[in-house]
Amino acid sequence: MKGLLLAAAGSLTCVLAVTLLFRAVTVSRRAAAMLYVFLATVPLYVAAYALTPADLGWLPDSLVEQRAFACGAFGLFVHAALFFGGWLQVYNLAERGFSLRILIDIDESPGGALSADDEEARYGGGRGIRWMFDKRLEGLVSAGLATRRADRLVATDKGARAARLFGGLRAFLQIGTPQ
Amino acid sequence: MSADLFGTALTSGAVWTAAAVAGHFVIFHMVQVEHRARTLTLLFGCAAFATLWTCLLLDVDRWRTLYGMSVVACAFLLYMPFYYTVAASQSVQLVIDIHGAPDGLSVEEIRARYPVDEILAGRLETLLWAGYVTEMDGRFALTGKGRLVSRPFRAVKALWRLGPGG
Repeated sequence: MKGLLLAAAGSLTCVLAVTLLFRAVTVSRRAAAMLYVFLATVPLYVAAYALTPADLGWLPDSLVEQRAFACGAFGLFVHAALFFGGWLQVYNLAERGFSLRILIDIDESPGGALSADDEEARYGGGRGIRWMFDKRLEGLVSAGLATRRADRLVATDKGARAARLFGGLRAFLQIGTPQ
Repeated sequence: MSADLFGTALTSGAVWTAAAVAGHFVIFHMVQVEHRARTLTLLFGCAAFATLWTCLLLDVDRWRTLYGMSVVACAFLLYMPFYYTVAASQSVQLVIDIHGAPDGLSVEEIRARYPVDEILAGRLETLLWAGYVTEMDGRFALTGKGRLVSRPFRAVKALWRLGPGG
């Protein structure tokens, strides 16, 4: 139980630190900043686990694990899952989610309803859907998945590997082209 | 309390999680699944239930059973974003298209492949089908379910000062 409780505390500390960071300064690479904050909480978790008693001073004997290392590793796994599958995904959705942005645009529109043409123009704070598409293309270049060559985008080695991996998985799982 | 019960619970969770992932690959490969997210959620739900059943069978106490089920829950948290990256990411689709073209693609060619009005129409249709929006006279409004998603994320965007995004 100690590992689980410390994981929960570590996760809350992480999201609190991220919130304070994002509110205090303008961060350009937010996902990377979140990752650094998470990584900073890992030694904190390990230190807290090593320095606190097995029962945290109040847990009943039945909840104290005899395998301290396994319990600590389990807690660390939970902490990582809460970050990578939880907080980081919340950020990704809020920052990059296409469907979510459409829902928010409709929600924020004066009449609470939008036509497809309205949405096309209003998308992403009035930047339009073409902007979203260009942002994705720029993202591919900055991530090193594609490079510009004579006004054309060409897959890099890294991009080719990603295309083969994801294309293979999509074919195997019978997933069509996403809209 | 036997130390083995802790390991038993975690192992049980890990084994049933592996079974859920294997089941995902087998089912999706063999059958054209319509409700993909629901099917995947169901598979992990079954894995959690199977972990519970295994722990009950092996006389694992309730707290350690909970640990085993936590393993399944955490794996679900990690697996779903991975699955959605494979299944729905536009960036992934773009890199597949660029890689598939012998000389790469120009921005104009990419735009021609993905007309924004068609992309938007497709996504609105999906949102309509999933019950997040409703349509009246060519205008889309949020349903209760849509607001339930939109409002918390508006709050997160405000709290983290994320800007419009998208």
